[in-house]
Amino acid sequence: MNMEKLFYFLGAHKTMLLFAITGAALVSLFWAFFIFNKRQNIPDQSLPFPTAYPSAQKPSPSQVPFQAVETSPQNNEKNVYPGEIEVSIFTNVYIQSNKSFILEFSPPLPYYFKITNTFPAKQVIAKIYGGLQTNTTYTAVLKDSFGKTVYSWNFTTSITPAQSSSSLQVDKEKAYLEKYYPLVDYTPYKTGSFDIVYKTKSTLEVKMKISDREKVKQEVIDWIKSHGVDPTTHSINYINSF
Amino acid sequence: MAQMSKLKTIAQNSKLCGRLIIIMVIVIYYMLHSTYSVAQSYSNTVRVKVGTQPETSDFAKAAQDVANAYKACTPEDPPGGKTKLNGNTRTNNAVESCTLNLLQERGYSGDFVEKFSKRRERAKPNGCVECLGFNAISLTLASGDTTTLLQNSPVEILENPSLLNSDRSSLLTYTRTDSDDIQPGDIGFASGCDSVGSAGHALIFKRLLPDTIRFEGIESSYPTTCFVNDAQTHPKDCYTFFRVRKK
Repeated sequence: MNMEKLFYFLGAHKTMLLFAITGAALVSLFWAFFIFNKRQNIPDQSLPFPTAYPSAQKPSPSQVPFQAVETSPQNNEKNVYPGEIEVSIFTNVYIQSNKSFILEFSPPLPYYFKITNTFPAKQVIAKIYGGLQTNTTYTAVLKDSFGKTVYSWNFTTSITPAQSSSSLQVDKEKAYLEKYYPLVDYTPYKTGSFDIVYKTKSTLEVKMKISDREKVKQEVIDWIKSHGVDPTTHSINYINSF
Repeated sequence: MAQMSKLKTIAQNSKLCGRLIIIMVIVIYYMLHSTYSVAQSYSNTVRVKVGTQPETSDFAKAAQDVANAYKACTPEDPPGGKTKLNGNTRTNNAVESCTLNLLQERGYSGDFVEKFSKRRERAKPNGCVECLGFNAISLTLASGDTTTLLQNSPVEILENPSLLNSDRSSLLTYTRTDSDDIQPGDIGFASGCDSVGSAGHALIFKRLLPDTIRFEGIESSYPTTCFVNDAQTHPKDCYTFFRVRKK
């Protein structure tokens, strides 16, 4: 049967059916495409946090202790990068908060770790700040809130040292700025009476534009206080600039 | 009459089917060409003179070009702020070739880009380019030098005199620079703010902020591992700086 005869026998209502099928196929294609794109957009570091779940699934305290079903690095894994990696433990039930478990490393970490995921979740993610020792076998132990061991596993770091400890550096820089330069976000600052800048840590330099020194001093102290900072924590050098 | 009606129906159905086929072709074309559209659109619009070799003093420019290439060749961050994709140095083959093409189109010779590529292979622990690797590949791109700043951690490099003395095979020299005299392209090693050697990070100085206390760096893995960052601020007290010169 050639094409002409086929179209003729199908008739108008069959053509409409053909449209409907083709339309459905197109919609499916679009849908599949957007789902594909959405999956592509999931980053390698993204975490599948559960945001909501039926209350019936919430674990009661009696359900603890939980079990570890998978870890990263895996048990007995060798040649683990000794940088600021994430150590992950996936559990069989939802963990309610970061007080529901205890995570320990032996030998002790060079610096510290922080739990970076939100709860409730079926996983615990610990970011290692400052990295790990090279060529070292670490034992990680996950305990429940009563101190009972849930899971224990080992991994060994590589000989090659890590290239960066930037997360640790982030913490140090933040603490340093808060301690010595709490006004840095507001400087340099200028009024009709004075200009103010940081010269070095905890030391401000004020260029006075008017001769009334006491007035300028009061304005400077008021300005420092207005940002929630105690003026006595800073040395203030006043310079005539009028 | 019946023959005419038959022909009319055939013509109408053929027309509609033809339109459907065209729509499907457009849909398939769109699907095939959208995945790496960001990278393609960027590389298609940047056309600069090929063959101009950057000066060694253009280390800051090279670092910026490397950062820009990673950003241009990776997907945009989706709105909402939680997910980060843009500027990831843990690449796949498509991003890899996009990055290399882009650098070549930015004016770097094929030879330098090839060295950059080889250097990148050595610069990726755990799959991604971190801070020291980023410095190394940026230096390689700017100078062609492939010998320094990769084997050890930033802290070890900073504490070890090899940076200043023993690296005879290097085409480059490194001179300690006072933090009041820093200029774009100087390498900064994190020195733990209050004490030398208690942290490990390396970056390239970009510019001093108006507060004169903080500077903007070009770097990788700050604050998120495996991502380039060219707008992060740091207190200069927390860094020890070195100036790079060609021998």
